Amino acid sequence: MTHVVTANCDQCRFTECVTVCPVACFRGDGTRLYIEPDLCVDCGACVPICPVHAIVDSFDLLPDQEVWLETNRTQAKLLPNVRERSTPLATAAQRQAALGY
Amino acid sequence: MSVRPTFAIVGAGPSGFYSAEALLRAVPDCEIHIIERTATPHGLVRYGVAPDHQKLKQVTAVFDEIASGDRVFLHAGVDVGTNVTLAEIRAHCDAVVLATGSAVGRPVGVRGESLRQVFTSAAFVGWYNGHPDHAALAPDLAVSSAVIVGNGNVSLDVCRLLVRALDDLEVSDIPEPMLKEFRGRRIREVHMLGRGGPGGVKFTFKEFRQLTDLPNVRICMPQLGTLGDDDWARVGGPDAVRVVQWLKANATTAAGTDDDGRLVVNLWFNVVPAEFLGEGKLSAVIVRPSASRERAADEAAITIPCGMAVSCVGFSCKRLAGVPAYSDTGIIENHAGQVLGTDGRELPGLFVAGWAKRGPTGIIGTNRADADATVQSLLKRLPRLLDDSKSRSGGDLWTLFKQRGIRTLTHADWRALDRVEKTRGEARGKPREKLLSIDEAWAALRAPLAA
Repeated sequence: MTHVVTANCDQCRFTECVTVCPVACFRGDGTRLYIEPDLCVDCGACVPICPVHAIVDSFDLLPDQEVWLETNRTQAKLLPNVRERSTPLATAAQRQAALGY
Repeated sequence: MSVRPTFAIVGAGPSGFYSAEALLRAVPDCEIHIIERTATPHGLVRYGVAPDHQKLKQVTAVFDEIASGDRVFLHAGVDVGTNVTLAEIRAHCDAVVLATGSAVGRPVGVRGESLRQVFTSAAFVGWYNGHPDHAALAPDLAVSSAVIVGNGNVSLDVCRLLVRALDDLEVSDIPEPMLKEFRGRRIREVHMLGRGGPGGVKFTFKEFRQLTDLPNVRICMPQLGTLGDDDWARVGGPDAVRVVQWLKANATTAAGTDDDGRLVVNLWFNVVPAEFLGEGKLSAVIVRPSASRERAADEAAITIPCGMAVSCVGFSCKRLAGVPAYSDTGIIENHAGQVLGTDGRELPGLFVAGWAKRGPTGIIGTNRADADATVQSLLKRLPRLLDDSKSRSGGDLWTLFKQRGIRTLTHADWRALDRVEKTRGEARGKPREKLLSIDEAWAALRAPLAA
């Protein structure tokens, strides 16, 4: 069990999630974030705070989202920690609207 | 006299540590003193998070990392308000953050609540987690039926602990004396009383699923046949939607004939307790329709026989002398973490974070953002506070505690106690065997195992 950041984070990178993560398990590059599954304690604090519902409990992943489990695991190992909120990407508002949130 | 910015944080729980983390980041040359009433740090993660939620308890590694910095000092075993006053702490620091939580269980406020075997969640959860305040609670679990008042995650924790298979509890960190009581459990059914309808549940689906997944448990809804469409229609948030879906698909009435030996958890809706009955000791709860239901007046009260009851209806702050005002809801009056006086004016250098600031809501991580916000308020006022503090008495907290004859436990002591608890637990196949009092903690530190 873990939580994963899914496709909705692309073009958004709102970073609200990192403000509530009790174990600082978010990793990322300039485009999006990932969760380090070996650190995540499954508290779920990040799920409701994401403006585009990008974060999903692995238990609740739809079949076509399963791929994000491995992507989060591998990318998180490679990328630096993201602990502080930053400005969303310029495309964020548009993408949020397109996603219907 | 020039001294580095000095902060005290009262309470070594999540919001205390996250306040420390934010202060360390923002004020590089500061010194932070975390003052804790009990012998050990971690607050609600140790004493509130359920003993079978060990993964969540791993968050303590983050707290220990914060505490291990060379500018952070833990003083455990100091009760502010008893051993020292808040005014004294304030006089020794540039600013104080109260992170004292909401330690007091809120009563339901009906007759019979003082009967034996009626508990608040603060007491009952504190008991099975080995909180020194509640270790002597001595509930009798050799009863066949239990009532839980409330429909939040705390209710579900209590319910799950009451019905979960003993094998699972044996490998949790329920302390041995409490586990002994669980071994004598005779509970066959639990009744959970919800004030609202099925869609008004306050618990998360995730937590609910942990209950429904237990193989030895059957979820029943005694009112299933009588609930109308309007009872199902009002649905709170996304979690409630999923709970309602689950209930519609899976719940049965208790009167079924498929009794297969599983324990029964009865979910009651639109009800509130009217009275706890018993001669000295609880024997039943009278339940009446809550105001949430329009046809409430037509419905009769129900008597549910039970040998114990736990009311999980909230918490409020323990009053602390030197805190001028509390809101009606039991939190410390504040504006964005800045503590306010009865006249609404700011108390210079006094701040609040976590449950004491916003009430008992959210999960552990919520306190990180919350503590950050408080520290932002503090930083805005810091230049003036440092200016005012030039006249600070100059003494340090170590001297103050020493003068009072208070022996404090440091973070290094906690590291040693942590090893002792883990070693003691290992022998029993448990993550840890908790020390249950400050005396036990001191004794353990003197024993060779701690070395």
